[in-house]
Amino acid sequence: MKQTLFMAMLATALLSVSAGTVAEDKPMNLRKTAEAIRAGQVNVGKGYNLAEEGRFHQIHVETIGIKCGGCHTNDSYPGSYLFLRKAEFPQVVNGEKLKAVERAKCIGCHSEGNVATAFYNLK
Amino acid sequence: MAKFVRVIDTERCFGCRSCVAACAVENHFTPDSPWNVMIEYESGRFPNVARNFVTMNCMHCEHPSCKAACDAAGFKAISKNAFGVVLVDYDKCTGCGYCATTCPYGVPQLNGGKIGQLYPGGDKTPYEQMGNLAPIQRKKAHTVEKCTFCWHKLEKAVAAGKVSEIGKTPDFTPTCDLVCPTQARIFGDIDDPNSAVSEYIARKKATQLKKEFGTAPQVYYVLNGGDY
Repeated sequence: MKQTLFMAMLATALLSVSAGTVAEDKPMNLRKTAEAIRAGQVNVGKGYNLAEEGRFHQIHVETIGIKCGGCHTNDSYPGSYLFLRKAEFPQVVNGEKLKAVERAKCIGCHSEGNVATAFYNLK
Repeated sequence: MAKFVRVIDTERCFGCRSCVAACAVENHFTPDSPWNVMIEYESGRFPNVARNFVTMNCMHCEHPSCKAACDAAGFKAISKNAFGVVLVDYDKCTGCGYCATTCPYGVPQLNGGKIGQLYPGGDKTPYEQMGNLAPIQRKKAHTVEKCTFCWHKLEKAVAAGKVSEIGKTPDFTPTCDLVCPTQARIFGDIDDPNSAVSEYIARKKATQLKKEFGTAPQVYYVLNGGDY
């Protein structure tokens, strides 16, 4: 019994270590996490694609911890939203409703001088 | 060096979609991956209501977020040339979709391998059978495609030393800008203060969309609410 308990505790500890920053109870330092991802110190995969298991969602969901509803908010884009691909929504993928993402959510982290790789407000 | 921009007057546009059709014919964009789209929506409250038409294509930004994403991913498939035109190299593109996620205007279209003809299941149109498409017009499955400012026409002007005729001569002007029945679209060199496009932007106070992203688009809009 003691041996089983010890093994279970060891497994939990190992899992926590392998998950790195995510498993820590203290608040995540986003800047350090972003730098670690870029330096290849956090395993987020090498598959550059938008699939759920791809690098993009590994970073945003698994490593940073953003929930689906944090980005995918609307069934469809508002009528006045000026976005070329807005007709893609409402969209159903594998029987599951996929909600649209408004890009304004990305500006905060992805502007120059902020934590993530800069795509916006480049000098 | 000339820098080419487009101005679209939404006060003149009435949503006929001639520009959308012209783009489809000129560039054979993949079905379901349009390069030029008409956004149509209502605004206001009865009785003060309006129907708005905003045609959208690639903004050819000064600081393209699509290029930043592509470069960060290491593919370097997107470039911005000396004339300000943002182009995708289909041979380098892996179809990862990072550009599509970062573009604030939703421009890059992942074609998903559905490369087809203008009328899927039907015969090829005579135009498609001509087989004289420029490399930039030829599509490749599982890559991203988007408006090129009709670079295949502009580069002919550059090669012929007729850059000053871009936006004036039909052969050297993007096709969508040629067909507008209300002349709501003007294309030209913004570095020339006397060009029609410079004059129009100044006189009508044309502005760029979604300036908060800081991508500095090269497509200007005359909006009925004015600049913001």
